[in-house]
Amino acid sequence: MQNDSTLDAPDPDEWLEIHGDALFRYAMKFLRDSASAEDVVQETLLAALQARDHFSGKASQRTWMTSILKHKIADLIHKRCREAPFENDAQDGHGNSDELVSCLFDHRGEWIVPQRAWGNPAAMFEQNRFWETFTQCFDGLSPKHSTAFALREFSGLSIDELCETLNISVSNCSVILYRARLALKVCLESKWLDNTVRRTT
Amino acid sequence: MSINISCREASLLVSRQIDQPLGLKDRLRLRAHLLICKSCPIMHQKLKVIHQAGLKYPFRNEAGGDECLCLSPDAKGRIAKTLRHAKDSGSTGDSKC
Repeated sequence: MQNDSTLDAPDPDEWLEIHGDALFRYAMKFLRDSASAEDVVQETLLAALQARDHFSGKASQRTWMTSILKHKIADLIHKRCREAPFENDAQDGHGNSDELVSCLFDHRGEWIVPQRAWGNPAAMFEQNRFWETFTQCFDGLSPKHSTAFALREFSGLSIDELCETLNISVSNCSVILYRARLALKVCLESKWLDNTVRRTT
Repeated sequence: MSINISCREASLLVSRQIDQPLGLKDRLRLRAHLLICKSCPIMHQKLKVIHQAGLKYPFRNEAGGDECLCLSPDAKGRIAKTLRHAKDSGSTGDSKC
């Protein structure tokens, strides 16, 4: 792995060179704005520099820095959500405000198009094309949905931590995650999986 | 209260169940629905795959070609300066043992 020996004599330039871009890419997935992402990367490296004595060396340096970064990102989003609260998604699946969900189900709440299986997830995750498509679909989510999904899935926050970070109720949080997941499902099916199925049949 | 739920309601419950345990009533309704519905067990799998994909998401440099989703040289310079300054002014020990 990367030279963890730099922790004994941390050279900030070297840290920046080794980790800067990766931390920046990570932050961009949450914040979507390079100025904010640069700021949290700087804060993360500063915090790492100050806390280097606490680094146990059990995890890799990157993992350690990423965990600092996750906290910095969640703090920033929390602060933003207090200043400009998330809009409330409809409280249940019956709201007429959500076009995507309404397009998937008929008036009785049944699937308009019957579901077809995707195949083996382990094999899917091996393919670069899958991740490219997943990235495109994630980037296409609305900021609200992508932020909630990223904090929950990429960062691994629990639902309670997520709601606290976003400063919203658990039921609203659940609906936001639900819509994010359905939007990803629809997007993956239209951009990648459907093609694969068609090509092989 | 009826035990019958629609696919739409079932899909919300499936998503909620990824994040937290469902209450008994919802759990039973969902289980009953998944037994009688052809599509929803497949949807259940798909939402689980999306959850897994989120957990395993590789943060690669996905920008193709000559583009790089990277710190700009300006930002790098700025951050390097801040870090050097913090290191020099930091009192926590000399790095040369």
